[in-house]
Amino acid sequence: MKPSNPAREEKIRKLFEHLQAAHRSRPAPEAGPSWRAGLMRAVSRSRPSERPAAGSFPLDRLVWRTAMAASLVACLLVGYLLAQPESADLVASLLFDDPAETLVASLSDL
Amino acid sequence: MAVRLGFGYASRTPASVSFLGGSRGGREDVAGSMAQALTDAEIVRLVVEGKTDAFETLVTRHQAQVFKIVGRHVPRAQVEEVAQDVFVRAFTSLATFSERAPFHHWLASLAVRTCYGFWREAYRSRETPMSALSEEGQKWVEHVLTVQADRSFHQQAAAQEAQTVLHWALDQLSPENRTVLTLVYLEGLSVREAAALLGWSQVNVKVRAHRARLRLRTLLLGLAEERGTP
Repeated sequence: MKPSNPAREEKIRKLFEHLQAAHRSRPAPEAGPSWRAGLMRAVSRSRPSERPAAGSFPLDRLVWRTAMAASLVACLLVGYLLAQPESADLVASLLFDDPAETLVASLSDL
Repeated sequence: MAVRLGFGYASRTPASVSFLGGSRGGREDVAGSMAQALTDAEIVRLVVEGKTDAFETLVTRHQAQVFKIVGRHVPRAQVEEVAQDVFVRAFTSLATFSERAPFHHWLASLAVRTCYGFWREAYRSRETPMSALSEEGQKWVEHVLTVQADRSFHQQAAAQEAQTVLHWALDQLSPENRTVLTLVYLEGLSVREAAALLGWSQVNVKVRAHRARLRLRTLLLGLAEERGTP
């Protein structure tokens, strides 16, 4: 972003600096006298989640951790197949919705 | 990674409030006084193992810092409620605390994410359209732009009208952009620190920060053109 008008940019800078100072000058609020009691009541109504057993591994974390590797493998596989001259008919049938016979024939050639 | 936001203190801060409160049994009081000497991580282990009363020691130690973070993100009237949400969420998800980072970093991240959730909810349920800047706010802008010296800089910043303009400007942003702008440009955190607090990628934070700054720039430009003297 190229500043086009120095006077205008100066105004913006000035306003931004004042707003930044206004944000930083906000006094830290303090808890009211009954806040702690209310919190501990809310806490007593809740239950802490249990720590996962040692050695267990959540499935969702496994999926996300392997997502990048799986995508890479899929891309490499597609690239390899596209590079094969025998797969041209197969790709054409998939892309252009050729009759099933062409697809079967291509698969049998592979 | 050093995450700021006022958390630079030792985790063995002595608690000033009685651990279990005055009405509990003597045996628990002994356990309570013991908990005060424990580190945050040790107390977390106690709570997860079922000694839930030990959680109050964590509240005592970190209450001021949570209020400080929440107070800079949400309106004053909602600070207590959001701070309570932060601690309840901390309590219910203590088992996910991995001890790889200090407890106060984990809690700071939870506080920032809770504030972000507050704004997402607030924007979702907002029925009235965004209001125009009040007359007082517009006068403040005019005054800031006409005052030459920085002598009254702090008085200007501390003025109630400054807060009005700040809230108005932040209200024009999406919850994501608002949160990122607050962390990166108003608090002065690095992109890496903001990303760690929000649990977002650094690229996402960078893009959001850029968009938010452009939007804020447009807003300020509008104010300056409208109210500023040539």
